[in-house]
Amino acid sequence: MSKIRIKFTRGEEVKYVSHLDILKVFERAARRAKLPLAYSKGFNPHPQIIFGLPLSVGVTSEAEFADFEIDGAVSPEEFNDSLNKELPKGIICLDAANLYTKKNIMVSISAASYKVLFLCSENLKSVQDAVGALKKKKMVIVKKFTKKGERDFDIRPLIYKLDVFQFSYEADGCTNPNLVKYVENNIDDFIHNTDFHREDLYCLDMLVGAGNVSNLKPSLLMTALSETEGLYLRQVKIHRTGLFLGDTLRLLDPMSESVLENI
Amino acid sequence: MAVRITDAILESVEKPSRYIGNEWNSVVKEPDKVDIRFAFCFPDNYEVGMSHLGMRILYHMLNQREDTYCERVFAPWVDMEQKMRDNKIPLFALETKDAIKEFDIIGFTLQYEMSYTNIINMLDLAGVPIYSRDRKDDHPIVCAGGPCAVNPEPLADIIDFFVIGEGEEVTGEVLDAYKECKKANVSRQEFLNRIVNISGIYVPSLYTVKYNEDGTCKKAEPIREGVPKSIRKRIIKDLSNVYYPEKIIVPYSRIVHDRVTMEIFRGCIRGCRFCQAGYIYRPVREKSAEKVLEAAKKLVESTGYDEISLASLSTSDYTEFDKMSNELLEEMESRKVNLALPSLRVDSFSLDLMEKAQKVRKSGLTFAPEAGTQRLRDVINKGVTEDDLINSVSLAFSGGWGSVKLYFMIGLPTESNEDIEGIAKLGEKVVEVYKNTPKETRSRKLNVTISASSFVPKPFTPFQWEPQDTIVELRRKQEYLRGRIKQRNITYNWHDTKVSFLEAVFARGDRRTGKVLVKAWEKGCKFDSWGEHFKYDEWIEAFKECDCDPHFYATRKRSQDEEFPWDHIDVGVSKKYLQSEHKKAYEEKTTPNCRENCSGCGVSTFLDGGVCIE
Repeated sequence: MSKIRIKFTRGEEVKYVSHLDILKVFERAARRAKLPLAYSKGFNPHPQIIFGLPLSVGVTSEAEFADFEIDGAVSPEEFNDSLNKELPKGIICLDAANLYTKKNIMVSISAASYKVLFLCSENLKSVQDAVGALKKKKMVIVKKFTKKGERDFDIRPLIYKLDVFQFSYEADGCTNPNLVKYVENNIDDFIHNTDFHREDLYCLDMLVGAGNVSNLKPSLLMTALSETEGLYLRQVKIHRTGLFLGDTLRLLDPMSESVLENI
Repeated sequence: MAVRITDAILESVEKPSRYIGNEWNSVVKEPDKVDIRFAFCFPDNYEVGMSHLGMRILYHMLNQREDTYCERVFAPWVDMEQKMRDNKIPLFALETKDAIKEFDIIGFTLQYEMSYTNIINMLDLAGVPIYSRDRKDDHPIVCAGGPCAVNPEPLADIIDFFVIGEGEEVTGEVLDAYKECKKANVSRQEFLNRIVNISGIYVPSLYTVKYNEDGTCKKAEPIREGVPKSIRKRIIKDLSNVYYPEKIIVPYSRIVHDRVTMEIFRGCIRGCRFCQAGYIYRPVREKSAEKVLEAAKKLVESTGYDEISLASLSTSDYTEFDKMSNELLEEMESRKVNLALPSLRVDSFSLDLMEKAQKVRKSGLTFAPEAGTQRLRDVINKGVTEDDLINSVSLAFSGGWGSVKLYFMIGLPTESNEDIEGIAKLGEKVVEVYKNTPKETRSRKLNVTISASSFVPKPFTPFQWEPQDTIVELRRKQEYLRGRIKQRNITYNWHDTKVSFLEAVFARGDRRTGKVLVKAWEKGCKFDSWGEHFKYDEWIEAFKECDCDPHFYATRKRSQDEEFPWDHIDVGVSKKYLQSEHKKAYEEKTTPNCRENCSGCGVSTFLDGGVCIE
């Protein structure tokens, strides 16, 4: 019995597929690819696949991770290639590696980075000031709606990095071609019948706490920015750029050797 | 042109993945490189429509043709429909997102009467005129097929042509004709004129219907020479060699039947007198075990599904069922694929097989005695006995099953209180069997569900002359049954009698009922088979405003010599045979199944040599 960790994307084509359904997508793709997955024992055997942090419906990502339990001989490269042949559009397996640690990806996630595009009529300076003001606060209280009802929640400790830029429409001006393409295709839908212009598009880069214990959803941070700083904004898109292990002092890439081999 | 569905819209509706397409095995083609664009429409939501076997077969079969691109269209759920109307987005096909108004042919499958208002709604949403007569040459041709097409009359003013019977061969013939017509740039009327002589094609506008003073129909007459007087359904003679897809679409989200469905035969040897499928799909034809196995393997490999289900009207009536199912089980087990065996008869329940098929996952077992007494089971020719049921459940209980579902019908012809009480008694006996099963072998919990639907008389059955019980009477019978069920571990479910009443109207409706459909739709009726959307009061208003009496269709006893609105449709079973079966029902006489003895229903003329079963 061995384990393989993969890194994969979730593109525009599959951003409305729920987290649980993505799990099925991988199960079926692996079956079609005839990959030697390990099955659970018991009444209703199913393959042992563990995913990193769930992605909200509508959000795209270039850095998702999953751990597969393997029952047979297959190299990470073979695994990666055969899976890619059977995955639907929008999901691309970018990397695969043998995993030797017992800690699965789900329990290890500690931080996530996102790019959030939003429209705002204020100029860059005002937007930067608002973001700066939020960062200076000791506490940022937002209302969080849970099954138990509404409660106050201080998100400030979970904001590790926060920077805002004016969005550049040229691929060269932005490190992320996914976003440039998305904006080109969709921006008119968002400014149609509003007072917004194409120049009002901003990109918020954030690194926030994530995982099982405490998790900050980017949309909640956007709400906080809007409410506490009085910034009128319209969210356009959320894109996940990374998931990390470790702690704030030393964040680790889930595919890095030290993580994969930490026994 | 593809429609624009913005992220803002998709993010605001329930289950947006219903509308995005791109599923595994969905077919991608370049629309401008084909001659015919075909929109295959299922008049219900994605989850229901994607589960339908006929659509899965025809979609992939049509796409085998290089000259055709067949795409899927489902009824958008009410939230999405609202967004589409608000944003002026016309109904689109899932593959290309192109508006179906630009397609050549729009085809609906008619699986149940209560989906008819969705057809109207979908045409309207597409921007295609609802009535055939209002469509111009640049509008798509609108066709329909499926089991309800055997009485096409309620939709006669809406659908340009119907396909009667099985679609695999005739659809190709129609598409060939369409391609020629398109090249020659002929009118839609000329196209319809040309296909009217293809066997199995019914063009309602080429027939007139007159009525008698008492409101009954005269037989539909062709409006001119050269139009066939009667339309004979199409069948596939050789089921082993007919097209069966090697790939089927694997949806992202969960659908109703989220598994591979493997058809094993069509038709049924039994002849239960209430069952329309049992008559209209005759004669029984099997796919060879070899082909079943081969196709099953390919489908499992191409989809990655972990479950496969056998499809037919009565699974265990497959000849060599044990051999076939064992081979299939073995094959599927090695692939960790679960085999589901629906539609097993009470008299053929094999514990051995169920154990193997369901492994340790002991989901509920379902049996369908249909009626509570032997007398009534003889009337409906169900052909199973109380002993059959008791034997089966006793096997099931000692095999560790604890959950049993029993299906019955209320309102069957000749039914008395005694028959209804029989349902409760049968339920009690099943509980008794459980109690007599040793504690060591039986399941710790018992759950018996009695589910009673309301009988709906259907065309082409021996009960097509029968009145349906009134809503009041059905309610009384439901209450009566509820009062008789005293066991605490029996759960009793019943159906909405109002829905059954409307089903009875449109199952045996004529052309005049079509106006009611449109009127009801205008009043907001759609998704009528979904309890939360069913608007009975609006339906009744629609009948009134159209001066149409629903009781005339649902609860009226027909005389033996009445011409029916569907009499010009020929499904192969003769009216004379149905009459003799009707008589035998009242005499409480059963008819042997087709393998025991041919009863001469008339359908054997479809087959070379005139023999259904060797």
